[in-house]
Amino acid sequence: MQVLANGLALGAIYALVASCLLLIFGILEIPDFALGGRIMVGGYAGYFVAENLGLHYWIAVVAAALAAGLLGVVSELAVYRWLRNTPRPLLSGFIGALVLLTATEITVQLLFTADFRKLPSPYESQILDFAGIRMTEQRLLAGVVALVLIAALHAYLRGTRGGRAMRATLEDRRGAEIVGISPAKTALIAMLLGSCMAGVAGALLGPMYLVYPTMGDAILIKGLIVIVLAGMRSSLGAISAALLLGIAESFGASYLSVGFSDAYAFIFLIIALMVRPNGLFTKSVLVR
Amino acid sequence: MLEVSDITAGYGNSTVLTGVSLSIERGEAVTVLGANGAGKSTLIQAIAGLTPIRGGEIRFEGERIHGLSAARIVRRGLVLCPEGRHLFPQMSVRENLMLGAYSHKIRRSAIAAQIDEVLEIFPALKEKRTVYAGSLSGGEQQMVAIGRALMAKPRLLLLDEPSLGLAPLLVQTVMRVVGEINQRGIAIGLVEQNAAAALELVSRGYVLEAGSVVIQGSAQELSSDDRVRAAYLGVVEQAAD
Repeated sequence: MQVLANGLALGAIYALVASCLLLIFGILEIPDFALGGRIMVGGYAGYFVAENLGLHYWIAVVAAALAAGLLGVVSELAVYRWLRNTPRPLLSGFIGALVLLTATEITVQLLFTADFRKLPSPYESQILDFAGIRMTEQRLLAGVVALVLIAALHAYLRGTRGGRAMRATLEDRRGAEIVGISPAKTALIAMLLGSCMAGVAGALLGPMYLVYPTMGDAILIKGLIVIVLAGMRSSLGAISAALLLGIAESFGASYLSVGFSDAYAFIFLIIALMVRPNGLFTKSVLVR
Repeated sequence: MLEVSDITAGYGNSTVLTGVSLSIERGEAVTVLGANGAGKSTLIQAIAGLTPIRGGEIRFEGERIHGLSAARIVRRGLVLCPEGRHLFPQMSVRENLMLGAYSHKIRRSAIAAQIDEVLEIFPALKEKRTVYAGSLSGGEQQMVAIGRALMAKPRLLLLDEPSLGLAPLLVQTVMRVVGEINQRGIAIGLVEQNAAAALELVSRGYVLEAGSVVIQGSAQELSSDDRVRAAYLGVVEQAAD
């Protein structure tokens, strides 16, 4: 049970990151690897606010969202928007995203060195004991906040005019343009939302897994693995796949070896793709 | 109402339209006929702001609209019902119609009233409003596409091949609906390969060939034009000798 709970909390963060990646990839049609950089910038923004300014952890979380959101908006306006108009948007987007990711990491490393920093959180020292499951409040909080954000994103997509416009763009780009939905505006909103949530993910991870310039890489890769596992599209599938991945990692770390904990995700991916090459949660799709 | 003057358009190195001019008056129904690849779709997309033009001018209600975004053009009342429908397949009929009104920032209750109004024209869609658009038949999807366009309150409705891929009986239904819409005072620009069906509906027409207007005239003139009869109405003239 203990291991399961740890895995679920971790899986919720993977699900959050995967949701951001899916949203941005769906709307921008660019694989936004630089999201890993924005997770990390969120971690640093949170660290700066909580450690250097001495403000409360929740303010640090908000600052993380704002910093990552701002970076996301700038990335879209200054880089991605232009790359989408090149003859091969997917390839140039792919390269552009990798350049952005590296540039972000190098900049942060130059400014703050590569030292590991611990984002102070009052919840990290509190240990909850519930029915024999012991976990820090921070871990529980991270899982809950991640799930709440995912639920909020889905509520936005389902129930609002802007969210409906975003789903329309995901389903038929040309159709969306025809009814008067601006592709540029939709891309900017997707980037802002996805980046803000990525920033929060960074601030949630900071107290548990520390803050350092490449902290976003591992979590980004987990997010990508989750998307592949879920079969590229389905967002509910991505959430289930993320939770499964978190649990698999947690069990691997507890019963096999902690040292290989990042490798379990890949082993899980390989096994899953051998069994269900079209993704874990895909139905056979009728192609019209 | 719509004046297209001497426009040129294309993709990359190829030019699709060369010096095309046409006009549609208020409340009028006009067709553009032509074979595959004649440039009909490029023309209609250029008017709707989805394809940039390289030369010439497009005016709607006296104002230049080329260079405006598709969204702005929709807001002015020039609405396209595209070839291939481009519906949102995983959304309900109702949501598809709601999105049709996207460009007008109006309240939910007003949208609901407008949906009821549109469904009056398409009674068959009434009981399907909660069904995914992607699961409807081709004819029903075409109705949703026209309905979605009507939700934007067009003054000029451009229809790109609404009969494409439909059974003859459904083509009749679609054309009847387009006629009804025109009766309500909405001008129609109809791009079609099915010339016979289109010419029954409109008052004037243009024939596009290799990116230029080669024939224009009233529906009667076009129906009796030998070139149109041979190329688009499938009438083979008896040999003269």
